[in-house]
Amino acid sequence: MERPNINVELPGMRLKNPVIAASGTFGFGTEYDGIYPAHLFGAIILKGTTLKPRDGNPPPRIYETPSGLINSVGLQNPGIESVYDEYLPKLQNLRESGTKVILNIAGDTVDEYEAIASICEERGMIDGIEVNLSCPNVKKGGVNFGSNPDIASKVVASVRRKTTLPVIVKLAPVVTDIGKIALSCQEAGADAISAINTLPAVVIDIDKQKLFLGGGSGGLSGSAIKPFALMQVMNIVKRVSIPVIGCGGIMNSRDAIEFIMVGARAVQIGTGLFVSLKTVENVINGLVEYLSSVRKDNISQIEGIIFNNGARSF
Amino acid sequence: MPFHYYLKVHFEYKYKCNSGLVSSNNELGSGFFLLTIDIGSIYFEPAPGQFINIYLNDEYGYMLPRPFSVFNIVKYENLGSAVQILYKVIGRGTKIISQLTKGDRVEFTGPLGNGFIIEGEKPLLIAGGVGIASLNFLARRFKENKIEPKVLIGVRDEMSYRAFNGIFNNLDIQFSIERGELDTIFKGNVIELYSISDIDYDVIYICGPTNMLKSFEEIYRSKNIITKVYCCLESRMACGVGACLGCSIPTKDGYRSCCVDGPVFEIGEVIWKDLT
Repeated sequence: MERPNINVELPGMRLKNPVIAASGTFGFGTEYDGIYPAHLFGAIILKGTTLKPRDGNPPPRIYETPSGLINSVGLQNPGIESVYDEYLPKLQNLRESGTKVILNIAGDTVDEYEAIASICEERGMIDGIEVNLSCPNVKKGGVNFGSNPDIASKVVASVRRKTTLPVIVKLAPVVTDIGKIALSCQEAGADAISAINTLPAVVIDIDKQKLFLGGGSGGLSGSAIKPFALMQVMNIVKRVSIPVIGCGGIMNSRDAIEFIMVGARAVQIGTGLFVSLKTVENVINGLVEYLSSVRKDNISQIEGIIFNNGARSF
Repeated sequence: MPFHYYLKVHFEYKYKCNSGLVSSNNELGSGFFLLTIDIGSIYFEPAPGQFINIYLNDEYGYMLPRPFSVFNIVKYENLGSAVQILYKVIGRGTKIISQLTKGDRVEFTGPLGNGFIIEGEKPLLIAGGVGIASLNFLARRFKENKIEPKVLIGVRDEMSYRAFNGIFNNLDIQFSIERGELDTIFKGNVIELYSISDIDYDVIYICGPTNMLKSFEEIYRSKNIITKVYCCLESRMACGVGACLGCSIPTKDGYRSCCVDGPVFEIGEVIWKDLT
């Protein structure tokens, strides 16, 4: 049998493999040079970028928990113009070599998202945009953009109006009905959904008798969140017709296969990149081996397979 | 891919991404260990102050690699070398590392970060506990340059003193001990020892717990010391290469990453009151 095909089709981009570096864990694409070659990935998603530079949260910013990692970086980034001037030019060879480059964008207001999208449209140099909805809306009393279908759809629609680039929307995980939010993003023009972002979490310093992280709360990632992520991906897949990118605690090929089986088209790896120097190779090789062992010649043949086998959403 | 690009990637891969076999992992007492990793004949030339990030490869357990300053590089006569790490077991990660035995394979990245700038004729090295790791390597480098550094090491108790005494051959060391009594050893912490000492120096290198560095900085500021001081800081880290921005240090130029902008900073760069 020939080597199974693991190319995947996302709107506006064909990935050479379904493994994507998750935003915030792979910097601006060059930091890992010599350690984790970026060309291994089907795509890389750059760090959350805002209109103006941001300092981020005070340290400490990270804390390890059993099978988990809590981060409170607070969107430290040099701002969209610097990302275009200093970082994206260095990634054009990578794009030519066949790895897609996606920029993750974040903002405090709908206008800010819109302004960044306009700049992306004008300056190009990327293959798509991932919209981070897990940000507080400062004009609406700090309510998370991703927590409400109407606000989420406003953000997505405003980005959509400004750009022809593929728009992926990354959803906040702890909401009443994630399927409904995903659907409203689709109706507002999203090309794909990625889920899930980190879970809100805190750490207590019992010696100082206060919160440990400088930013107060943080986001939990790692294997600890995988079962929850799988369920939320299932709930999204049942409601939308656009592709879903699964994310949350993927450490190896088995974890990745689980996400594909609940309907994810591709997967993001974040915390898993810190765990081993071979995570990406292992996921890709393991995926190919699995497909061969179950006599499938294309990864699409296992996408959402649990629904053919009687699963329903919850 | 063009050939020259391949060469570059290949070279850097060799340079930063390494593995080796444990040759020994000796418990020195009081929770301190000296780990020696044989790395064969790979190119590995860290500067004093640089560190390596050791991977635990425990994907469903404690996941992050652990950063350690290079304590020493041992060059074998028959080609090849070993990297040595001095560490103290304080949590799950270091516990896992303490269980490594001879022949186990260890994966690590490094050398990472910026090391010490080596200058001066009369260097003074001040270490708190396991902070001696980076300073030991620095001291060896000075000695290779025919300069004899003075070293102050603060340890907590007699057990720690005994753990350390004997691994620093041929160094001009004064210890301080916080708890218990030992004849001939200064009673107190290492900053107190520094305050009363009359050592003549023209540059200071310091590494230790954050509180120790802060108390040194207070003295430095209040006494208007003008000597250059290089501080090797520590921070919780994930990637070790500046990608995750998890290990920020508050500096006069804003937050900077301990892993790629440090771990060595000049004393005046850091905003000490914000350092945790």
